[in-house]
Amino acid sequence: MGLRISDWLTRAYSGVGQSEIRNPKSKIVMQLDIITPDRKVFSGEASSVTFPGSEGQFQVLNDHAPLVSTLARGPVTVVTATGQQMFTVDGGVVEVLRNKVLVLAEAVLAA
Amino acid sequence: MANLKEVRNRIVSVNSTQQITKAMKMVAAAKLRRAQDAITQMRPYAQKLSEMLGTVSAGAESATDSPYKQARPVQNVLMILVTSDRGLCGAFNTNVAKAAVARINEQYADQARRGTVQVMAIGKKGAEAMARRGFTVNTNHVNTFGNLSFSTVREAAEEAMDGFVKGQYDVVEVVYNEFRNVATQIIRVEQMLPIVSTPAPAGVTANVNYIFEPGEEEIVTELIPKTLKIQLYKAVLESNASEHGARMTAMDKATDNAGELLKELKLIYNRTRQAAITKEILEIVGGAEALSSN
Repeated sequence: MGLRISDWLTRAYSGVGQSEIRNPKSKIVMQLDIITPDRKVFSGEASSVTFPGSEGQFQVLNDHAPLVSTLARGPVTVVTATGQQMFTVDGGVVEVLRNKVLVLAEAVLAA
Repeated sequence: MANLKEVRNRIVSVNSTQQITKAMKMVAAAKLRRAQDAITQMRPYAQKLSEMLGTVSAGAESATDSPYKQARPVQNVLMILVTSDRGLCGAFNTNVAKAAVARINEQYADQARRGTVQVMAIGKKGAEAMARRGFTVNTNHVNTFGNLSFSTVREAAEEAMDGFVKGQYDVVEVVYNEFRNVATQIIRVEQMLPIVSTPAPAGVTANVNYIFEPGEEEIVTELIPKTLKIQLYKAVLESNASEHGARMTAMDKATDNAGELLKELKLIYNRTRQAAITKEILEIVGGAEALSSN
């Protein structure tokens, strides 16, 4: 989802991310948490996450609409400021709400 | 009065026993901390999962009927006993076995007479206790605590759930120790299957318009088995923490008792030694007197 000017203005006024004002091209990040019953696998900011949805792969970017989806077994690709990371989840669910992405997976096979 | 050497040997052996119990207590304390950490690690997952189930089922139109909710006339019973693999933890394991037997006697006496009560043991001690009482015990998941993680518990849960869906069991109950604090464990008997439907907590009705992918009902059917597995995992983690708590208190008491015993033994030792010295002096004095009177 591209960043529209109106979005950008609201963001600037609400004081989110001063750096964005200076550099509108830099991506606004989402908070991503990947948790399993045993541990927190990932917690941090990401600019894009790709999921193996049970109905096909999909990508979540900043300001995604609220979503709950089940996941199939497959790779979750996370793009962070420092690079790309991949986790293989063994099924699970993902919830996207107000730039918070929460992945509940029963097992993360490989990081 | 006891012989000096005997008392000395006993003191040495009690001393080394005390060292062992002290070490075991310390080990249990360290393991307890880790077990509690595991519980806190699991909590956000469990919480989020039930929250999600709440929001999704609030959105789902019809009450979804899941195969796990099917209540049938009870023919076959599965009791899952969560105990420990090791002993030396007080009445921890006995309590679970006792509670399970009591539950079977009061609720499933008929089934027990027909021999349709089955036991699945998570933890070796529970398997042994129930086998002694003449139950058929499924020991597929006995060694869970060596390397406790969700994946091992998940297998046990899946086996129970499969059995329920296939009609091998009509009711599945879990008996375990709930962790209250280091000194207190509370025995819990929980029905795992069929799911006892709790009314959805009011106020969580979706005020956010979620996109559901693939659909509310599908997500609910996907989430329900997950919550079941988490329910069992929670029971196992609670039991694990309880086990280490129970062992800690048991070993603490044992260390105290050994201390008492040592005190008594030392008293006896000193008395015996004193008596021996007195006797020796008397003998010497007696001997000297006999010499001087000559």
